[in-house]
Amino acid sequence: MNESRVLLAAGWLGRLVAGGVFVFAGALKLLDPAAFAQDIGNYQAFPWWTWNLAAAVVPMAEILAGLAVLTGFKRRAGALVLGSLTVAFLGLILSVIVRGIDLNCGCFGEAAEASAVGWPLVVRDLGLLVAIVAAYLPAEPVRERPAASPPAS
Amino acid sequence: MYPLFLIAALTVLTLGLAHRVGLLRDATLVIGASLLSGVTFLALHPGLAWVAEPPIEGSCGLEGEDELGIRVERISVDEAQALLGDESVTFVDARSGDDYVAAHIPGAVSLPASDAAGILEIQSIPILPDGQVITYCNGGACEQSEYLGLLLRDREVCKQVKVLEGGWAAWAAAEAPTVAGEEPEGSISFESLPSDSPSPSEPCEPSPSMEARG
Repeated sequence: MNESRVLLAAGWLGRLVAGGVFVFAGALKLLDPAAFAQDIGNYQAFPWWTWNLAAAVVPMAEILAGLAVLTGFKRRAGALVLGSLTVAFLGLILSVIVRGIDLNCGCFGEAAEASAVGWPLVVRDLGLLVAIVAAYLPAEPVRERPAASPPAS
Repeated sequence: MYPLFLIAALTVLTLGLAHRVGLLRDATLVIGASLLSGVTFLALHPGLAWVAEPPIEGSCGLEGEDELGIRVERISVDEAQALLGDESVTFVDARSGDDYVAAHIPGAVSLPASDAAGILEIQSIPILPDGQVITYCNGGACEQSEYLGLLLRDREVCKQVKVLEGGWAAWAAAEAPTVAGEEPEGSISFESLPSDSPSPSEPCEPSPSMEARG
């Protein structure tokens, strides 16, 4: 298996993992946006008037960017958005750990067992970041243009 | 507020990178679509206002009322410290077992919030039914001690439940008394069940609100 095939296979795996996880996480949040808005408030990092807006926009971004990565339509742009979100989540999680706050991250709605903030969550997000990079890396397929017909003589 | 600046800086960095690799238009498209659909969702969702209610001063950022209709009352470090040694008062440590062993409030019972529902399914904790419980966690949002307080009250282990304001961080900062080590043997046992609590073989059904909080 040559290098480009390895990259392509890793890309597909990354697309499935990153896209699937974010679409699933976004959908769970949208099922109970009020609870997610409360989770955002618990981070004590954002002004209260942004909580509800963020609780609606962030899951939408996760779903749309996740779908972009999954389907391949605007894949790299989707991966870029997912990567930015993940890096931002990582920053927030680290700030929570440093400040010693006990809370659930709200990453998967109210499934608290999967969402307790701590070092395992940092590792999980770093793993997601690897999947996102793998999803981003393969080059976009180049569409072949139809050969121009020779000028009529 | 510094995470906001961090996110703003990351956004600028991302857009800059996107511009360099020619992705600016596509990334803007995804972000714009997210904003538009998010705002539309917010406008159409009946249970979500445009702007959240401002948090109550001194609270953990939780809403004024929980799903049970009552928010767990707070108690300051000074007030709680005055209750040390009172046999009708039980301190319940919602932090992890390791944190408890490292240091805890004298006489406190360890009941990690992450596993509290499971522990209460099979055993009770030594609390006088008419006594008072003060729960505490690491501090900050004190979401775990709030959850534990609601859980204890929901299971009718004790009706007088309070959350220690500021949690362990505030207790330690006030240089209040602490001890280290494991719980005394047998401090949590079936024999210590309150007389009016359900038997371990017939555990209370948790309320939907508790299940939702995990």
